[in-house]
Amino acid sequence: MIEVVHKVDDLNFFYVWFMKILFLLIPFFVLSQSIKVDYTYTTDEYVNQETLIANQNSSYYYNKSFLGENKKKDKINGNEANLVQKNIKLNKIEYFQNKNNPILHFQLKYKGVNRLIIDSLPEINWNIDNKAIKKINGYTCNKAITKFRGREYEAWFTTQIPINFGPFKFNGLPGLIISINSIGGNSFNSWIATRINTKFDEKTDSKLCDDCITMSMREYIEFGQNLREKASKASVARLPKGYNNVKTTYERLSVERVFEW
Amino acid sequence: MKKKSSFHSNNKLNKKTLTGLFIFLLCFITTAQISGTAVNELKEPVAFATVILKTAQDSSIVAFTQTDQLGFYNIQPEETGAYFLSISSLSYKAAPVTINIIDVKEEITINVTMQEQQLELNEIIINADLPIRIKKDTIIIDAKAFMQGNEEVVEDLLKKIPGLTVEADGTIKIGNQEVEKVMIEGDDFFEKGYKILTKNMPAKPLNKIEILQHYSNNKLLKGVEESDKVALNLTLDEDAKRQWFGNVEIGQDLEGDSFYQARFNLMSFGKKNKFYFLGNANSTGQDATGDVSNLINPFRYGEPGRVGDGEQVSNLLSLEAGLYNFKASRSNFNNAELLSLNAIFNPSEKLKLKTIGFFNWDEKDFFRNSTNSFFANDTDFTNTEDYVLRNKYQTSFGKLQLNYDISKTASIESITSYSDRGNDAGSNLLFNGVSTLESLTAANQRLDHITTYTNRLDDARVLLITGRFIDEKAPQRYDVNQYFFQDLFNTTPQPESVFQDLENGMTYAGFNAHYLDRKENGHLLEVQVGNEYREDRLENRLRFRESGNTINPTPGYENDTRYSVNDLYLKGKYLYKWSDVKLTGSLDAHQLFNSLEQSGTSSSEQPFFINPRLEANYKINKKNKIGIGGAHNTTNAGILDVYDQFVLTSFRSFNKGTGSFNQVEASSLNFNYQLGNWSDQFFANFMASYTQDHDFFSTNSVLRPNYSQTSKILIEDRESIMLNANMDYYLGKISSNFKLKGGYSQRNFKNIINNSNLREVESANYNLGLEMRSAFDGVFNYHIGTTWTWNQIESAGIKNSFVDNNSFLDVNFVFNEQFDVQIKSERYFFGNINEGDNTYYFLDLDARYNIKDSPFSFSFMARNLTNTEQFRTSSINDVSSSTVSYRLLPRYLLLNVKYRF
Repeated sequence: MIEVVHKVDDLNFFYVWFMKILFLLIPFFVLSQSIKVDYTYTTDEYVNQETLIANQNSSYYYNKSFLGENKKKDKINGNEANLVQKNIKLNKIEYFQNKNNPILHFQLKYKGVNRLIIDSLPEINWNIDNKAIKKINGYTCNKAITKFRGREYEAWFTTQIPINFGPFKFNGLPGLIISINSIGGNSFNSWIATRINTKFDEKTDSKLCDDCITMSMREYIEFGQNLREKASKASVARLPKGYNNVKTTYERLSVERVFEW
Repeated sequence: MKKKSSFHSNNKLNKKTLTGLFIFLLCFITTAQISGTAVNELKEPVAFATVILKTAQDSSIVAFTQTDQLGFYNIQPEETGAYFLSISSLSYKAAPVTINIIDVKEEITINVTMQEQQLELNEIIINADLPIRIKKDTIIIDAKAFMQGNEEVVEDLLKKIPGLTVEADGTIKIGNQEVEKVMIEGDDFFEKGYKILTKNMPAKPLNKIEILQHYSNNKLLKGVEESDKVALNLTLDEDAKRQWFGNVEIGQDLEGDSFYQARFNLMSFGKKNKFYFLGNANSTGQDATGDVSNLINPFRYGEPGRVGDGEQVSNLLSLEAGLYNFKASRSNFNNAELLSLNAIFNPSEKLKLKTIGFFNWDEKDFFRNSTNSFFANDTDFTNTEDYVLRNKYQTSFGKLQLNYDISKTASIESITSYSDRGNDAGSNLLFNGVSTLESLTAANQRLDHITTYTNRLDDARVLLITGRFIDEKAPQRYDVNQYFFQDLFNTTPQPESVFQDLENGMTYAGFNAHYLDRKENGHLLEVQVGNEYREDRLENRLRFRESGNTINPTPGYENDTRYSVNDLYLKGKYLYKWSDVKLTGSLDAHQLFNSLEQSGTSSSEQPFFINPRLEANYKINKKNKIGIGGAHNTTNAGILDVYDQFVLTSFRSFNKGTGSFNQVEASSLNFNYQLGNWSDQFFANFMASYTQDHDFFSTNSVLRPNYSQTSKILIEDRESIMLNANMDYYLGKISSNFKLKGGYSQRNFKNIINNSNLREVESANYNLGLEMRSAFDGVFNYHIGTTWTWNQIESAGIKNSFVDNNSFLDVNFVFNEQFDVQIKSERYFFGNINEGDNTYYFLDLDARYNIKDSPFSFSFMARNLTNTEQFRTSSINDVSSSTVSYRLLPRYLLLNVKYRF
């Protein structure tokens, strides 16, 4: 059993490097026309601006680094402790997709280290609801529903802008996603396009970093989960006397909450 | 309608591709196929163009794909019919091609030549309807959208709302922060005690749930006041019928009939009127008014628009006794009953009336034996007391709160309350073998009125004007059936007994204007102007009884003091915020007008002083935080510092003030440092403070076996130092946290005992504690710890020191959501007790069982399982050491049944 795991790791290692080299060789946005779409991303905790730059065969997507105001603070008050994240701080995350490669890459600074994550996305299967049509600023939008990594989404896309990309990791609709939001679930996520432009002078020379620590999506998710579990247990084990142990159950409130593995 | 991603085949030959190929082959047989190539006018392939097949009838999208790198596409409609095929990209466009498929097995080839046409787009702005809207700091959730029909009470529904967590004990958190309160239509009875509401109110009439972030109790202060509170507001359906709901809880002693507890909550919430009744009775040492303390005195300390919050009569004499540094309920033999009636009325949208009232009866018994050994200044003697005390209290309280919104930016709040408390205390005391009876009849009547006018000048600025009036009277009659003062008064014939009538009252009137200005960069400016007036009246008449006659003591034991202080002030405060630095500076200027009438003379003075304060917090980086602060304070003497004749304050002691005006000055410095964060593997905290009293009130005491006389004196220079450190280290391997804590404090002061010179007293105290606590995922968890405390006191060459230790072990079993058990054990060791028992053990057990989907729940409470009947503590100060043993409530087992209706 252990041997198998090793093999997978080795394979994974080579595969990761192979894909990276392959990816680096593909230049972005060669001559062809590209489009820039600004999205407003809203969650239960904060609102942020994110941007898609795409052409017919590749996309580059990033969020603004974000430092939320100190909405909540730690409260340690006698034998009552209320612990909250002091700031919502998001580092910039850059996502790269290319039609020549089913693997999505994203890079970010996490725990002080620049990391490149190799995410073999599952295929996103969309169900188009042909009965639902709405006009958004002159664009006829169709509704499509999908399930992606543990959440259900409702998307409005327009075939009038014939690219296959959208915000975050979404892709595969026959037109640009104008708005998409999660339905139900334990946290709310929505992206709404606020500005679409084909004439923009933003430089799009972003590329995959070559000195980042490279990890697979699974390694990345498990890495974060272990850190969080440890931190949460440390917090519980630090409670003063008279405070009952709270059983911690984990619930992913992040956009992606269930993975293929 | 499955998308055929043609670009997949360009890559690795994996399983997916093979499957795809297989399906692709199948397609030849089962469905129609349209394929072809898209080229531009130069015959170059158009790669990754979007290909859509729509029905001709209603433009429904039936299939879509993309061209591959060679411009090739392949699309399969599943049904026959007329279709439009359109191919487009950002740079190329082609006119839709009409296709008629007659046979599902048909294969059609359509090659398309596309014209170059750049897509040009202008800005678009979208307002989409979303199920959850985020409105500034309010998140509104449609309650109905989350109702599945199986919710019984509000809590069940809240559990389903994303972002809200309801813990097993009913604590509601948003993210990780507990909510401040849960309101119904903006009205609230419970404040932090909201579980009474959320665990009992039916979920059905709920319409919307609002999460209010940065919540301010005064809505006009929102966004201006520094606030990190969150609250919930529940709105009701328009047509929701008002219904009564609540719970009853009854606990019965399993071994005898000596202990019981009972409680009921009954409430009804309509859109306009809300009612809440509760009752509580117990003999388990619980203070019944704890249930209504939120109602009587909502926690508003430090909020803008408050004035006169600490103003009350200072008591000189009481026969209350308690156990300090120990669970008070263990020695409180009580019998408490409480009934409370509360209502909120909203006669119009702008007007809100809230009435709160309660009646409380309590009877408390207390038993104590003590030995006091005095060793100060050539006077060595030991007193013993065997003390039985019974206190009876009756309290009635009424409060009327009126809120009126004058406009969207201005409001008035007016709160008037009246309380009447009576206390009859009687003690049976054996003092050095002499049987003594004390009795105290005390009353307290307090009228309190506060009106606050709030005006939101604009988004960032608020003005509050507050007026407050308080009148409080606390008369007392104290009787002792023995006379211990023969050595003091040398009266012949010797009187038999003593009594004292005491009138203690105060009147307060305060006015305050508070201006808050939140700057754009987050800085906050606060300016306050105010005038506060307080008048204290203190009168006492000490009398002796001798053969039916009443005798006056020698002069010096009869106060008739009238002390008034008028404080006219201007206060300024500025909060400066950079990204990592927070700086607060404040200056308070006071002009006082003091006047004092006593012993036939009257005097006045007008001192002026300024109190400055500076605080800085710096977040060096993610792991290091530092804070430093300094202040200089001048405090005006209070009534207990200025009265000039002795008051009898116990059966054997007299106290008096300095007889004159005084202001005492003190400077203080504090420092704290934090390394790491609470959830890091290593977390440490260090705190230090230093206070220098430039002058302070000390005492000049005459201590005799039968009596003591203490006068306040003003002394210069006193210092105190306090250091505290905490370290936490989390060991992941055993899922446990290891805590080390230490503290040191040192104090020195001077006093006079039995006509000595000023003596220096130095006390020092160290403590060291170790703790371990688990965070296991399973059923079981533990928390174990021990603390040693070294006490040392030194005065006039006499040094005393001893070590106490106190340890605990708590174990928890959470079997499931319905059933849990907690066992708590404690050990106390007193190093100063040399004879007899100096080690005590306690064991308590709690178990809870909730029947799923049932209105019944059960809990079992076992207290003092070791049946420890006495508890001895020891203490030491600069004049005496004492050992006190208390009688404790014996072991009892209580079974509680709770029914929700």
